[in-house]
Amino acid sequence: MNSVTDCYHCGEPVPDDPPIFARLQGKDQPMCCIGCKAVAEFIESSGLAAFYTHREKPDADLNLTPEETDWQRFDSDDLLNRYVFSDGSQSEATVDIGGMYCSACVWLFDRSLQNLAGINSVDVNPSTRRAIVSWQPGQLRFSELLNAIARVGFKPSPVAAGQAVDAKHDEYKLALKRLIVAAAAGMQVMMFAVALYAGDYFGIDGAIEKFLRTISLLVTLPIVFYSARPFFTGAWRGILARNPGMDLPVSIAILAAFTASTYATWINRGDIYFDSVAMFVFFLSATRFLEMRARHRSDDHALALAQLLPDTAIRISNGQSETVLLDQLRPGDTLSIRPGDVLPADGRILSGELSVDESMLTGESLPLQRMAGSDIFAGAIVRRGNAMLTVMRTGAGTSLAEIGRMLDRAKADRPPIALLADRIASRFVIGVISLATITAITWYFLDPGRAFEVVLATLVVTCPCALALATPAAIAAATARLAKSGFLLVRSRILEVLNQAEVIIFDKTGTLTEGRPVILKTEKLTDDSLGGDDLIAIAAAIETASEHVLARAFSLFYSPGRFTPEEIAVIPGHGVDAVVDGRQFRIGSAEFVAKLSGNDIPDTSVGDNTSVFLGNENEILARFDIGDELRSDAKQSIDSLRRLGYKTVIASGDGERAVRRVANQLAIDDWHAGLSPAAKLDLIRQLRNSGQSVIMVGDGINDAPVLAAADASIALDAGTALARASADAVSLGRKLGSILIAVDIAARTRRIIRQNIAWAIVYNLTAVPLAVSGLLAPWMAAVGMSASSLIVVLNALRLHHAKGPTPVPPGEIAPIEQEALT
Amino acid sequence: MNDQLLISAAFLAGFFGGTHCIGMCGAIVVLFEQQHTGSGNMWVRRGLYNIGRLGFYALLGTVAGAGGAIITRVAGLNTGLMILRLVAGLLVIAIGLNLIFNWSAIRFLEQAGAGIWRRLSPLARHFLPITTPLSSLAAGFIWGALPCGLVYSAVAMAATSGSATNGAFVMLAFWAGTLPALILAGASAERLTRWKSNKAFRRVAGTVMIVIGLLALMPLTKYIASSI
Repeated sequence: MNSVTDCYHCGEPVPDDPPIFARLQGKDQPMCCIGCKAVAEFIESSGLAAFYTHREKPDADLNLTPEETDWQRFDSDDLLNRYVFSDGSQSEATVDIGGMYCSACVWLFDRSLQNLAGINSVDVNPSTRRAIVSWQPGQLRFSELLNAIARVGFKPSPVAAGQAVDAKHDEYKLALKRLIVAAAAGMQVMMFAVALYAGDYFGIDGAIEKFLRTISLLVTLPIVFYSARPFFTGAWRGILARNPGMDLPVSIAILAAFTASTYATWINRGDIYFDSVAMFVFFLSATRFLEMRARHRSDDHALALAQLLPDTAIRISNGQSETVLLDQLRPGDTLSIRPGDVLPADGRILSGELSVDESMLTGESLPLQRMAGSDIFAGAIVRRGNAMLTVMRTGAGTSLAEIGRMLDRAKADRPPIALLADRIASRFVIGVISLATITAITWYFLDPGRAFEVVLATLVVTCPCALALATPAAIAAATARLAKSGFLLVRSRILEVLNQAEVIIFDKTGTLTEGRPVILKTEKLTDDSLGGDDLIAIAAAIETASEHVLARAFSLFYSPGRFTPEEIAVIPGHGVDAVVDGRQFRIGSAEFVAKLSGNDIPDTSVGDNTSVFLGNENEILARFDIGDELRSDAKQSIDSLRRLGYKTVIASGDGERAVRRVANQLAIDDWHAGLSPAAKLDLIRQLRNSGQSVIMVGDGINDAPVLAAADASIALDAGTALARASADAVSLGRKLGSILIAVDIAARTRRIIRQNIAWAIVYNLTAVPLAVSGLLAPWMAAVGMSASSLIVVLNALRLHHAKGPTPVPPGEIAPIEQEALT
Repeated sequence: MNDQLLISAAFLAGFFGGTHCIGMCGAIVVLFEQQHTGSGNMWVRRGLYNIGRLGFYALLGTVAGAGGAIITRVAGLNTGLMILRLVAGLLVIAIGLNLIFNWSAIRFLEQAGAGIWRRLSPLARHFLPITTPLSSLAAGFIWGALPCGLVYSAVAMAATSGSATNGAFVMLAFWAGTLPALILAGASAERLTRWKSNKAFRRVAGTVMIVIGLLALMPLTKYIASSI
């Protein structure tokens, strides 16, 4: 019978017998058992009764504005459509739970929701702080659910969930269930097997033996038909595709061993292999599970990024502030940004000053100072300050979304070594099955009684799991590890090239330097009526079209509407050509600008800085000297790379003096200045023709063809133009040190892949002869094979925790950067 | 019951019965965690609570095993063993019935255990808040003393094990069975709580417990048959 009351302490139904109560805070509360009573009274007497209150009453610390507690609005149809998935009888929503920091919170949260009428299930993921709640819409409204969460002291914000996430979640849950079943049942089978082995040795009663064998059979059933199912479907798929994978020998071994053992149990004669089956399935599932975790872990980062954005933003229109959904944001909107906000869109600061944490995007942990005029990216977390922001890009257009897409793309990319492993594995499988057949025939003539056992051991022991699993796991782990440091792999081949490369070529501006250029000096070179002020304004207007780093120096001088350039043509590596007020202008390198008017090329070797020229059809109008600071960790990184044996080269389009200055500071002997993109290309070809493997590091936009010509390329700080960065890897941080981390991880990855392949070969060379010659019992083969795959996967997973090279000493970390004003 | 069966029965009892404990013991772990002020890894601390709990169980198992051995000496080997086995089997069955029919058959035992707890629990307050690994261990030890029918059924099994060492091992197996549920108490409790409040799960767990109990009673029929 069901009782009406539930235990105040644990929520279990209270038995119908004489009820027990515990006196808590002056009130008798029903208890289901003496144990709960004891705990409850202990809690009360320790003065911790707040424990019970806390799980029901609102938390005083949580300050929600009236607007934020208006849960009713979530019952409107369009919001329900957005957040709640409903199939009529059941509704489900993903809710982000603000204020959930510890497992105790998770527990409290869960308990309090379970008590609501109409709740079907609550699933909390403590690491993402999200709950998937399912309820009956007839009994409970969405707003009531949210209100209930808020009452316990958490801040609920519904999340519009994606389909892919759920699918992954399901895959994970299913795999975990299969693994748990295999583990639990396997343990029992092992226990019975030990008893049976002991019985063989010391003698055992026939009835008990039969009983133990039957029990083993029963317990093995769920292992074979539930836990091992993925192997069978995999094998079947392989057969249909005429490309048998490692699942085939595995399935044959499992089914053969199980069938033979079942028969032996039935006739009560002969050996049983239930223990081998259990072990084999358990260890293989565990290995696969770990490998899946490694794969998902790189998704976790993408997922975490996607989940980073808030669902609403505060928009200012006509002096009024209103809360709007992210979907409703349009470029050009003005947003109010407060401390603690996560930026909802890419934008530019209109007024105010922010200290932002971009660590999720770039891996850089120090907060950065952002002032009016700076661009900031969706996903950055505001640590301090208030500001008004103009939206530039929203939704899928943001850099954040692009990072997510890049991570997805990187996953689809399979490096040559992984492809090789696949090819080998398929042939290997055919080899294994042939070998097993030959073994079977040979043993049939030698000793038919042992033939089955030997073939089973051979099939199991040679499973090429280690080979097929280890490399993808290592690559996935490395990708995830690097993404955490803000280094995104676009094509994983770069991991291999980083190991082989001898030369690293750096662009200068924006690569070795901060790429935050400042106009140090404006020199008017003409007697034209235009004032210095006009010249710089024209230059600034034209430069808005350019993405060259030097163009950023002009942005401060841009006033919209004053000059409007038309017929803009950006010539990468040279400059910009445009028509302003009916006159043609050029801005860019001396050569490029001089060509328009046919004048002599002006002297560029003045001063230590890069010069940009402005000219029209008649003459060269002005020279702007632009300075750019070295990246804070440039010296250290270049030194480290040199110590690691790389040859460092600078290839820059900038003037000789500016390049020489940087080269001297970094002690790089091999530097090339004034190179056009074509000349850079030649330089790379030359190096490659001499047999050297080359990595090019640039900003990824202006030197795209150059990057493509190298063996591998890294785009540094591509910023806004992430989507078009054509490189094998993109470093999001502002430090060159990320390359060092990448080099380090690449070396580790290669080491681990080699160790794994070496291990797989050595293992097979030893194990196969032993198995074929009948020296291995099937259970030994199961242990050997499983241990072997487990070893390689665990070995690969070490990459997740790789520390990277020794960090930069604190004193040398970049100071909070400032947008310099002139 | 031979040793392997006894050990696996204790393990299974812990495993299936243990999920039932989360509602009760989850609060203890949460309390410990809320009260703790030191630093250190949460999982390490949880491990320590549970090792402390094992300490108390092992103590119970040793005493019960030794006690059982003495009883078998006094009452004659077979008769003594059979009495203990009967007690153990019935206790496990009672817990199974409790799970299925929500009938608290062994409350009287828990009541007795509550006496021990009443004496020990003031000690627990000395260890709260938890600051050192040692206090984690000590708190866990006292946690072990919570009145709980499941533990008493395992103790009864330990008593039939024949020696103090075996008794400790039976309790170790029982503890290992409860470990998955209790180490996760708090962290993944949400999933497990749902399981254990689930009627079907309670029925399955209860049936398993009854089967274990019947297994424990099996040799008894033989004994009765032979002594008639």
